[in-house]
Amino acid sequence: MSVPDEPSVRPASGSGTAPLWVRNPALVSGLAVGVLLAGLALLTGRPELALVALPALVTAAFGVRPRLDTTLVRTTTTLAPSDSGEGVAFRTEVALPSAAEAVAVEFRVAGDRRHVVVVDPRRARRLTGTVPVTHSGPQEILRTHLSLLGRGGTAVSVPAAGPVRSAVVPPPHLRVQHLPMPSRVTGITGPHDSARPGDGGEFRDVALFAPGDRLRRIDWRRTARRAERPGELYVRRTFATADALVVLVLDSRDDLGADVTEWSGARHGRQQATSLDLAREAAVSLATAYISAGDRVGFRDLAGTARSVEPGSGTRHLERLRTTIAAATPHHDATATARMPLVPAASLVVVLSTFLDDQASTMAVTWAATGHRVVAVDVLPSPDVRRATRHERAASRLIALERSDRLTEMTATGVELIHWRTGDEDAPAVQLRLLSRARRTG
Amino acid sequence: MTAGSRAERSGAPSIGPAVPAWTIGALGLVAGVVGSVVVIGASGWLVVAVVLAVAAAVLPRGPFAALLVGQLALAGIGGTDLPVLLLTTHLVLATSLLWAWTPRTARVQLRALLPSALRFVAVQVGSQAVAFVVVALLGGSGPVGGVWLAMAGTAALLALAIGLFVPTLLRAGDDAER
Repeated sequence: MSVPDEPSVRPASGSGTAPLWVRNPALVSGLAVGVLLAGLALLTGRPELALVALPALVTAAFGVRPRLDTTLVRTTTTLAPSDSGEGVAFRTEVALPSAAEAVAVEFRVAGDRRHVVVVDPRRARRLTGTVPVTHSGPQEILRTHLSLLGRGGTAVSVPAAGPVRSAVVPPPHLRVQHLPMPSRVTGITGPHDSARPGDGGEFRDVALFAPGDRLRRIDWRRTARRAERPGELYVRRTFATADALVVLVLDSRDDLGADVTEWSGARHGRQQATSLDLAREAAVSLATAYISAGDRVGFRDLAGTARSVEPGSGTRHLERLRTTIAAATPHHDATATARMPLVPAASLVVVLSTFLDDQASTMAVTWAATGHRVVAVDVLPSPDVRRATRHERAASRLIALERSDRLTEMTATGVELIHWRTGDEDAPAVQLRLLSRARRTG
Repeated sequence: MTAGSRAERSGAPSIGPAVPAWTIGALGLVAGVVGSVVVIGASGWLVVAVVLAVAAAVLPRGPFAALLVGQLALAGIGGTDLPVLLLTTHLVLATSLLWAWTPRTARVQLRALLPSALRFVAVQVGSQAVAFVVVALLGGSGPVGGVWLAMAGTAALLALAIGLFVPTLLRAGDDAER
């Protein structure tokens, strides 16, 4: 019951389509044999033949209508993406005309899976299910085709296209506890110790009371020991606190799966998480962890499909970041030159990329050279060459070697590298924990 | 783990108790084969009937179900298995009507089959009652009475077919063209 999928002719959700009724193909031959048997019974005088013809003719009589009902068939589909990664719940409502006895509904769900159900009009008014999704981001979730069976079963409707529904699937996020910090923190207040004197931080030193010092900072014990003249007071001074500034730079110019034979774009069928799925997951995980820790997080997209988000903190800002990261999609031309985004001073720059070309790595090296702490997150899935031909294997090996050299050069210039892979959920957290430890210099 | 729950995990809607669509074709196939064995018996025509039954199951939109009904009706002339003949031919036609529309890979909600099942039972009960009256009660009144009854009944059926269905079919064809 498939029909060509032409988006331009598809009705919008909730709009109606008039059913195009045709006679059931099996009815014509059944009716013909009924008439033939009745004629033979008339000619030969055998009542058995007429009796056999009787059910066929009476069954056909059930479907006789003066005029077929052409009331519009209304199909409405509503989606509810789940934040927990359980898939996208859908509810399809098909309002059928009174002339329909049953309806066959074909569902094309994400990943090109096809499900066909035949239901009665009552059930058709409430068809619910959950589409499991492998990928995050904007994608088509559900499209429907309908065919009706008329009362009596003698008429059927030509399969018609129903509405198509798409949704932005939020990426899952990994719980991360230990996070790398920028080389220095610059905010006025926050959860981290700053190098400048102020309130809220660790003990710094003891000094003579000066105008502006708060009275509650006077250290009476130290004053009793060290005061040489009457009226001389000593106060305890502390460091100020500050928040970290983190900028997530997402390289969404390409979206590659594990199967190297699909990297050319000529073959499709990715059923596993792609590089952009991993990048979205990593970006959302890091944004959630940093904002939960009270830091400020900004976002930049190299492909330019998602808007930039200036650094901020708080729950609403996290929601804004999640929405923006989920909406990042590949650019139509992955080889086009990407503009190097501006990042605030003294920020930690996290570059999420496949590093299959020089652009993201060059930017990372540049930021590291200008004093930023840069963490490169490699989101390329482990290449799978099982389906590759000999030539494809050779090509993928060359690309892997170039990429390996690029990563080595990048780490040699001070960029720290971690790998974000699926199936090994602890690995990114462990690598981040290692990066969170204080760095030794010299 | 049922096929329905497996399908629902991969994104299909839940529709309650359901059967795979191929069971409709299989029911027609079984009815055709059983009817052929009972009505025709062991002969070369049985092979033809079985082939037609298989073809009707595989290509439900073709004329094979109707051809099988015609063959069984002609083979059953003068036989003693008229109730079985009526039941199997009607079942073959009814399932072919449904199977010709149902998508092959569909899951069919049992409730959606209820109108077809009720229609089948109603027509079958009526046909068997008419057959009982014709064969059991009037069969003994002599060949003339039987022949006249057959002719009168058949003429009524033909009038019904020509007067009612032909205009309906023509109208359905016009609707499709429009």
